Amino acid sequence: MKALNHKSQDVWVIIPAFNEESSIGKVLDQFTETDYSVLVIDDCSQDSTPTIVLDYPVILLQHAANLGQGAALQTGFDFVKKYTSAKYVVTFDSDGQHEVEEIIKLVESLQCQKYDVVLGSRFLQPNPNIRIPLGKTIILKFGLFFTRITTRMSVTDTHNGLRGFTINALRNINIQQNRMAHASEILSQISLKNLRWKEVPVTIHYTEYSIKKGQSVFNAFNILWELLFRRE
Amino acid sequence: MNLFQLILLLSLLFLLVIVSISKTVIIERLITLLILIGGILFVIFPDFSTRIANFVGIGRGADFVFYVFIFFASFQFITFSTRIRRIDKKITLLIRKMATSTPQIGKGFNKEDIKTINNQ
Repeated sequence: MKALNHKSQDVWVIIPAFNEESSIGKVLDQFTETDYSVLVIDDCSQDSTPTIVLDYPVILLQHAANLGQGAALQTGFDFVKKYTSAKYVVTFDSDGQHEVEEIIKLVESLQCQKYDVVLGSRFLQPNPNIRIPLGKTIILKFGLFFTRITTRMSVTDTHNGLRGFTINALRNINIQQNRMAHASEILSQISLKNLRWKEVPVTIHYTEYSIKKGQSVFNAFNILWELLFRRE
Repeated sequence: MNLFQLILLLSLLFLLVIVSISKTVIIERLITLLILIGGILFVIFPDFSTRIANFVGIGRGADFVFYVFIFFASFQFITFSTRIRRIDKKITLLIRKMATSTPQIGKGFNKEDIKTINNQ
């Protein structure tokens, strides 16, 4: 398979999706006005997610069985590295909590060649109009504490789905944690491989839907468990 | 020899046959065979386990057998979980390979790209 020739091949946006039929359309609608190339990884959804996705000018990869978000991201990374001429890769959540307009901030930071990875952070410049639910804050602080100890990176937000990578940075990242622990895993690989990183402030929209789909407090313990006991 | 001993002996012999013809890793098979032969000996000569138990400082033979059982059960558990993890990893790679080799093109994605993908 040769590299895809797309006019906007520089920036590829990777969107992992699992049972997102009620939000994926709205998310992809936002991309129709942009010239990013979009790659959706359907993690074996049981609803009409793949059908909806194929109505948009995107590429869809489908997992034959549900593996988890970490695995879906890595599938996207592998595809982009192998079959496209992407220079920058952005990961974007499918539940509608990110803003498409903010991708440019990440890409611009990468284009200045000072950074290999740019991470979105909701805490860097908190938007006073957006209230982060208390449960979320607890989980996120917990994740933060754990990450700061293990990676010694002074990040402010560990579980933000909006991230930008240069294609060279992606060659150093290999997600083994199939499920939610991948967020911490990405950070530890950035730290291990000495990639240059920075955080940029991004807005997260908490809709009832994204809260329902997102992490629960109990999941934080699952993540910790995965990190501690599922290492190779 | 009482009935219980007979049943135990027969089932251990049955397992012995299965293990010896199975195609697992040689070291695992050897360990399992060793345990089974030990089990058979303990069934036929119950005093034997008591003597070993006393020798290593455990009171009763049954306790000794129980401890050995726990040890090997844990060993098996670890072996199995490593194997499951390895299989999980293989499944992930397989599913990923399938997904990346069959990309689907959404409506309106650059037509030339569709050709590029389909022709390969």
